[in-house]
Amino acid sequence: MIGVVLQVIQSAVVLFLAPLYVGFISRCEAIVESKRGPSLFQPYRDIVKQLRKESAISENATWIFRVAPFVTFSCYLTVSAIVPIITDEPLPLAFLADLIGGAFVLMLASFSITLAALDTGSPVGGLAASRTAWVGSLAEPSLILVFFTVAALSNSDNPYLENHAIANSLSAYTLPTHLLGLVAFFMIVLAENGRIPIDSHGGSTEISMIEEGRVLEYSGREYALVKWGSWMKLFLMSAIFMNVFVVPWGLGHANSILGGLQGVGALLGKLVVCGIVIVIIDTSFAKLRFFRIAEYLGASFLLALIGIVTGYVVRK
Amino acid sequence: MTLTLLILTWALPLAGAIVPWLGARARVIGIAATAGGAGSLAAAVTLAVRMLSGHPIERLDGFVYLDSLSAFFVVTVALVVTLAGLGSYSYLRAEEERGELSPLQVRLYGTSFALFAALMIAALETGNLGLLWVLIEASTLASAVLVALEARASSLEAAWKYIIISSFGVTIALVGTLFVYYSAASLRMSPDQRLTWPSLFAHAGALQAPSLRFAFLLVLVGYGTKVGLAPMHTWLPDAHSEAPSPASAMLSAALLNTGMYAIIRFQALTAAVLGRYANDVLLVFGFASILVGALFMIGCGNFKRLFAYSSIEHMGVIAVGLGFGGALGIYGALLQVLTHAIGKSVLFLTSGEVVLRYRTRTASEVRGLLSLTPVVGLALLLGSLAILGSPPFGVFLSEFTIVRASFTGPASWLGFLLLALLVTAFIAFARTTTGMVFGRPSGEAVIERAATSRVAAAPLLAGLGLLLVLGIWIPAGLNDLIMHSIRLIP
Amino acid sequence: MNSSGMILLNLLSVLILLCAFACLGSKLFDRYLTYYALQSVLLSAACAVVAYYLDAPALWVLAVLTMLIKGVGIPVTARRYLVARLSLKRDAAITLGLSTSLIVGAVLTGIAYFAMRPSTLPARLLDTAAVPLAMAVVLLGSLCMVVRRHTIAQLIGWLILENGVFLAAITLVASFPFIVEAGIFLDLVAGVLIMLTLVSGLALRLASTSASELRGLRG
Repeated sequence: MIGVVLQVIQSAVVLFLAPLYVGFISRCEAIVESKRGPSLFQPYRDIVKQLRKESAISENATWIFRVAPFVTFSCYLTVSAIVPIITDEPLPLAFLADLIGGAFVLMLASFSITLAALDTGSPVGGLAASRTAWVGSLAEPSLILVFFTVAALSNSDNPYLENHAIANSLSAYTLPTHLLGLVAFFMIVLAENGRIPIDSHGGSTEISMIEEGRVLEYSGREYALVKWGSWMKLFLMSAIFMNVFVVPWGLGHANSILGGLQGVGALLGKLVVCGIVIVIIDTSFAKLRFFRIAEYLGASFLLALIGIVTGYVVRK
Repeated sequence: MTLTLLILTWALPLAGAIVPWLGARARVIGIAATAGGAGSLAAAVTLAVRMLSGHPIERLDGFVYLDSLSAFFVVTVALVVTLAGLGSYSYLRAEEERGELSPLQVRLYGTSFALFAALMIAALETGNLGLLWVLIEASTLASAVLVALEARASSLEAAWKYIIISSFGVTIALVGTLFVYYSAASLRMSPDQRLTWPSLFAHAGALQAPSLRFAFLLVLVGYGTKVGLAPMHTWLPDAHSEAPSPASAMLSAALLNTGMYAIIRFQALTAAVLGRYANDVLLVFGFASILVGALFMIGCGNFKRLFAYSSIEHMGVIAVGLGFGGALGIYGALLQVLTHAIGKSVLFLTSGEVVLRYRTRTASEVRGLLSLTPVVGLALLLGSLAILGSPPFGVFLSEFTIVRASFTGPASWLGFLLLALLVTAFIAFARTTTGMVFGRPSGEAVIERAATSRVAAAPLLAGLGLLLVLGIWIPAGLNDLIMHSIRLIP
Repeated sequence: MNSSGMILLNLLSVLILLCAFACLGSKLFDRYLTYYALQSVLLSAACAVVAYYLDAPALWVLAVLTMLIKGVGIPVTARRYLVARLSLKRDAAITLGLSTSLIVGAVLTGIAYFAMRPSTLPARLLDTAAVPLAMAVVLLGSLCMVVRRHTIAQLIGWLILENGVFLAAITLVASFPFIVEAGIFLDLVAGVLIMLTLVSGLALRLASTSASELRGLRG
């Protein structure tokens, strides 16, 4: 019973706090740039605004275009149930997938949006779709290798077991395998969510946009769902990053609601830190030239690879 | 007394480093270099005589160590330094007169020459493998200055290649030394002792075989770069041809031998633990070097490069001699060290005279040396014959001994291979040099000072004379010295 | 040596390896020098860790020397006398592309790990991962020397190689006798000075310091 309640709380946290996270990042970035910036709750207002608008769908679009937003949204909700967000033990629905399964579900979400972008026949959509596919194909091997570093440390690819392995032993935390996997995963988080140095988020007028280009054709309710979904993706990946790799402590137990609520508080604290790091990277670096993204992801691949190989050399 | 003599062997050449900065001119620098070399030679010969009767000298926890093998090499190097010193005299005097070298360059030459000679001799007299490394690397640096001295674009290029490839190789040798040091980890000795050659050799049984195997390979590749064994030889033709001729003599005849000394020490250590492994590896690299040397000599237009390739080939022959092993092989190799050193010095000093007159390093532009400058032409002719191993010169004796050693071993086809390669080298080399010596001098040749000064001729004739003597009769003292040294190598 | 020392040493060794990779993966001369300086600082920290846990005063001296000479002296000198004076910015003379050289570097790291596995080195002084990592740094330095055609890049490759050898020495056998180490340092400094002079000379003569331009001597 408690598990079910916690499960609902967890998904609700992801659903309703994701816009807050993104609002926080935008606000911070504006402050760093010496502007006043939008309110923290502006994303909520954007969603409400979009939900009320009428959606205009191109005549050439098929059912894929209509269905895709719902597919992605539900994918993200699914992933929210299976990764450690507020508790450090698996909740009732966590059997649905492990890390690799979770990665596949996230890929499904991205894939359906890519199909939708191609569906309308617009050139911008096609361009963005091909670029997303290219970046994704380079990030995949890197992601799999990061999972292997997780496996090297915890002998499983279950995020909860990884969390335990790191949290309980300082020597495991400071192993090069873990640290290199951490950095590699962070680089992938940036790549998958279209942040600097891969893509400039926010503005929808630049031709090189990868993320924005795909959803350019959407409007109204579908647009709200898609945007909300992408915020949830950022929230989820940041939460996995912090809870599984960086700060595995502070999560509640799976048998007390109070612990779960404390977990929420701790999560917010961790996400503040993660958000600030993202803001610093956003404002310090420039976007990479498109073909140099391969070098960036290659570096991530290399770090994960060295982490794994070092794992055989450095014993705990 | 013995210790004083030991210090004199490298201190006397070193004293020549101060002379340039006291306002000396080229002549005085040349005299200082020669005097340093001669004094060092005298001290070295005295020490060698002592080594025959007494025990090895070991001081300062093995940092200073001299036995008959070291004494033999010190005598060789000191001899080369003396000959090169005489050559420096003529070189510096001629270049300064002509204004080719600025005063700073002359001073740099004097200092680097002195440092180079002193560092090499000191390297031969230490028993600590780490200090050996330090001194060999330092001598690389000093000689690099010499290679770059004339400051042409090609000299700078050659000096860069030399210094970077040599440093790379020698650092690999450092890794090898590290592993040798590590393989003695289980021995109960002070760290200083553990790195010294005599203590390692004495406790050979306690060394760990796998790391020693790895270590020897690294050391051979590393110091082999210094010696010019193929395939690590790529810097050698450039460096030896671009340096001023006396410096080329030092590089080819002395520095290569110093590197070979280091390899022999490590080979002795490895052979005590791992048996024939060291010999086989030496054979591989040796034959590769002879092959490379012989092949590249064919059609080589620059005669100094030709001599450099000949050095590669001869170092290969020495390595092969060491590889065949046994009393014959090692005797031949050590004798080859001495005779090659003398012969190569003569050749390079001769080339110095040719370059001085003809202002070119290309063989096809040089013709009719015998008629124009009889002494130089004769020296070139006889020197080429000598270095290629024709009787009655000393190199013939040493190469013959090595070939004999090959036939006593299990793989006698190697002996035939060796002979075939030596013949190839002979033909390639002789073609070029006889073309230079005979013939009619070309009309446009710019000949300056057709008469060879006595100082310039002296080292050439002395060297040839020594080679002739060694080819006919090995003095009893020398023979004993070599036999003593053979006993040091299992 | 207790476990916190081992953790620290492992961490530092991995960071040193990463510096070597960073050097291999960049094209700007300023970056080469910065990564080399960073690597030397980390190396002196590792030396200090070993000195602390093994109570070896000679190693403290070496740590300070490493910091001063390799961490500060050489990068600053090289920057002032070469990069600034010759206005060198981007290294254009690279034979193998950056990504490819990184991959080759990863393969070499694997080879180094394989060669230095515990069964080949039974009596290690310090049971850490620093020895395989140091060997990997040696191989990466060699790769840098072979793959880069620019003289300064080759010089940096050699310096990285020396760093790797130093790390291997202090963790494998807790350093050579002090006089040998001092000699190695002297050689290094003298070598770097001479090389820098040569590079300046080359720049003046050839108006280029790329070794791919050094094709005059052939055959």
